[in-house]
Amino acid sequence: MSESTPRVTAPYLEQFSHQNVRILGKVRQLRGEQATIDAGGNINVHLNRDAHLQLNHAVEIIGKVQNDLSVKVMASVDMGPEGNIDFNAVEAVVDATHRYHEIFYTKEQ
Amino acid sequence: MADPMNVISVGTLAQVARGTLPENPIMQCVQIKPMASTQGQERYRVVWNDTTNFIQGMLAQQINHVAQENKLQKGSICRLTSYQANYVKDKHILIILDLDILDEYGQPEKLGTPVALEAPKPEVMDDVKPQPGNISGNGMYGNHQPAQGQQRSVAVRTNGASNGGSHGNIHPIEALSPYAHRWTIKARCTHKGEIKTWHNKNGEGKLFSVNFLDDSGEIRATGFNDAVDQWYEVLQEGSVYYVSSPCKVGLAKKQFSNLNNDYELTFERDTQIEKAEEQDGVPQVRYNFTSLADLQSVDKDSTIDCIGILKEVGEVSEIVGKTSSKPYSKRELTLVDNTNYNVRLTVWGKTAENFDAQPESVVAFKGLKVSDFGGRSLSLLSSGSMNIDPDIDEAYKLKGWYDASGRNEEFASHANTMSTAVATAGGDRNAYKTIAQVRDENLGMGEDTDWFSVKATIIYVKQDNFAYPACISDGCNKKVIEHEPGQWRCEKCDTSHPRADWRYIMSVNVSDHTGQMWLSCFNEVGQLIMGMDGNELHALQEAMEEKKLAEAFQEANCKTFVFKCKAKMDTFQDQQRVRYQVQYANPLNFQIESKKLADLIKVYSANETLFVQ
Repeated sequence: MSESTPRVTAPYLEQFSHQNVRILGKVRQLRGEQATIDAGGNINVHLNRDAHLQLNHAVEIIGKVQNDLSVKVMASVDMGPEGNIDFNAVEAVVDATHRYHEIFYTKEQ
Repeated sequence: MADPMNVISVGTLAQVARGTLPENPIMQCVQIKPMASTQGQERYRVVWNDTTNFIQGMLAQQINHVAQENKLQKGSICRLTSYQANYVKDKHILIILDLDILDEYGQPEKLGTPVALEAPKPEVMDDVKPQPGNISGNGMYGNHQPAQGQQRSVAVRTNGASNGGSHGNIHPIEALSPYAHRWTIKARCTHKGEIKTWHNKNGEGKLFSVNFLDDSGEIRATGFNDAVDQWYEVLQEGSVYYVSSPCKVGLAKKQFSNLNNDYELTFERDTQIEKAEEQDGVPQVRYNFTSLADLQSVDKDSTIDCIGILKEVGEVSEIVGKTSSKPYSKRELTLVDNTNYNVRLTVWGKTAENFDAQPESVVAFKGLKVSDFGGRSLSLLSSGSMNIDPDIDEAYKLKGWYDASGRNEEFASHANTMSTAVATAGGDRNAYKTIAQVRDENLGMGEDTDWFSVKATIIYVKQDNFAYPACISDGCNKKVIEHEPGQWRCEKCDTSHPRADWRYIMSVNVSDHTGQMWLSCFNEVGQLIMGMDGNELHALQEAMEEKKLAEAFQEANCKTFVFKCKAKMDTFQDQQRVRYQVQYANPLNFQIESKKLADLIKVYSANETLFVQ
């Protein structure tokens, strides 16, 4: 049984409480074990040992959504300076993911 | 009854004479007379008294009613809530736009002992107002109603530099209309057209046109016949002139002009044009750039300005006009900008012939007509202009973008711009097709060649006969025959060469999610696919480097490109087959491709909403 990690942005976090999600955002703040990334809104993330985020870089986070809508990072990938990423394309993917969710993840009703 | 002498704003008029306009002064009307105006509308002449001076005034048409209804009478005390002061024919006059009639004071006799307001013309013209005859309530000025905002601050700027002299009222170009009767503009001639002649049944004549620009706007001016002789040499492009009435202001013939003004000027015999002493205070050229990405949303046949990096410069060619049988010179250019779009741009006539801008320079164009040829393309109007490496911010931004990333977006000889052209165009030549569509639509099976683009992945490269020996003479690519070992003979050039240039003629099998097809590629595309020169690959084959050869072909597999193809019927040994030849292959520009896919997905959701119950 494969684990799905639907791609989300900040507004979708509520919907995916206690689930694993995938987020592509821009690193805005670094505060030791925590950071803030901007993905359609600010998201607080709790970093793990391996996460090495750089300010104003784009990063893809896979993590579990907590009660308070922060995300506990399980894996992260640095995507390079945020200028290199076409965020319109990211938006479009997130939009398509949720519009046609049957393809991407199983939604509990 | 209160004493009106207490409320009258004494000394107001003296202030007006000095150029300051106090707000809401209270004055007495000592005379009111109707007068027929040039437009046939009734105008009311009113004499105002502030007990020290009296002044002539006119009521603006919008408040004519106070006179018509007899609310304003001789002797009435009024508060002038909105007014302007003009200096006409050595006299100060007031134009009253709005007033309150203070009925409580009734209509006393003339208060005080006013004398005529004698004062020199104020040194600083605070307000540049249109003449009284111009204030029409029916909005001829569009959004420049004199009632709003008394100051034309724009005019102040252009006026600041001038010393007045005989040019008292400098009008902003925006304010010119058929109803202004004495005006002067100070403007730069931004474009002077050539003298054109015409012959028709009425006779013949000559004309020339110029474009004038000042801070407020632009306007086109034309001179006919005698005016050509009078003014053609006087007006120089780039210089600033004072142009004064008489000069006809008429409705603009938009098809001849690229400027955004409802009116245009026609020089008359008595029109005055003088070169201005100070050549500043007037802007050089005003651009209103549209980015190439936005071109899609611009209507065809509209006029825009554009700035971009010159990517390609074509050769100048001559074509003969179908209707006029006159030869035209034209030159095609390719322009790119930092919105990652490119566009074809055509320049004509002298501009085409004398074109000397280098590729990679920034060029700004003013007066480009948008057409939907090939999706979107641009054509420089005869009244438009071109500025190479202009000294403006957008030019530097573009240069910076190009040096940083724009230039590197090319891999093969035909840069990424071709694929972006595909993205912008909706035209037939550049239509994106899936492989299934190519088959279904029978592209190439008809009489003509069909062009299409397909995004596909290479799944197999045919390994036999992937290249042919070609003549190494410049420009000749004919197949040469090795009639003796080491001697390659070219029939066309009638020479023998010690070696041949191996050029690709590969067949590749490409596939997308709908099917697969065979495409033939020539040298440039072959190089792109294989990553090496035809000669190199052939050398590997000769040297029997099986492993390396196999590797090379393997490398080529699974590369995805956008192939621009030509499809046509070919008869080969009594069999008719469609041949698909690749003209260009471009690597994927992910940004553009993902946008295309996103848009495609959006179309699905748009359809959904139509059927929602």
